[in-house]
Amino acid sequence: MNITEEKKDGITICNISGEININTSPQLRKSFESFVESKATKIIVDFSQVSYIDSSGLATFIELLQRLKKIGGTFRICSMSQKVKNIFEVTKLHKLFEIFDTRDSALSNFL
Amino acid sequence: MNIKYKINSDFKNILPVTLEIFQKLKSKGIKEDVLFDVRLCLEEAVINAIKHGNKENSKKQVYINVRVVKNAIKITVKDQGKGFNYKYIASPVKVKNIKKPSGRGIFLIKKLMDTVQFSDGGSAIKMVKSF
Repeated sequence: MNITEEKKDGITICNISGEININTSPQLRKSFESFVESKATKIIVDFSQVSYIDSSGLATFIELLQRLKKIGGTFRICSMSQKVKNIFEVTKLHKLFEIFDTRDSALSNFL
Repeated sequence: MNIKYKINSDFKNILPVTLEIFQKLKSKGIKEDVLFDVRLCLEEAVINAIKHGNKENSKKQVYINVRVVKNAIKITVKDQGKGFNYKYIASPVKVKNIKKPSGRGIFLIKKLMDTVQFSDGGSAIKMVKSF
């Protein structure tokens, strides 16, 4: 799994490529910790290159949401494949997170 | 197809085995969407076996059996633990649980596989997916 970061109009965009699984979730958690520590309060996580996610990956995103809320922040997810989106829908997490079809729609009106 | 694996209870041992199983199932022409669900459920079961069954004791084993019979993939995962109360598993989609980070592994297995059965006091899980 590879993680890159870019900034646009005060928004941190996190690009993940590869699998979010039991072995890579710790790395993702560390990246998210650095975002919180740097007080990044608006984050978009781009899933366009994410091919797989398991329950440890889902847990990492729930933890990120909780940590961001404590500092008045939030995050959005964009560009999921249908297979990955299905996992969020089956677990009803599509109701907990803000999920957008495209990066542009996620960026739009991100106040 | 009938393949068996035995792995030590270390999370790093999971993916080499599950990816090998994935490739063998793929070579049988099984569709990608079925393979995705099966791989995820297999990994969730093995993670649970290591984490909860064997308490991450690397000296304990997890046994995996994968069979393809007609149009069904049958998987058994067994750990060397004492089992658990599988008759009561908290639902992660209830309002009081949705924000909890953990507790989705078995739920995913039950949703994505066609049948799921526990045995040996909960130390074994048998999952079936038709294709």
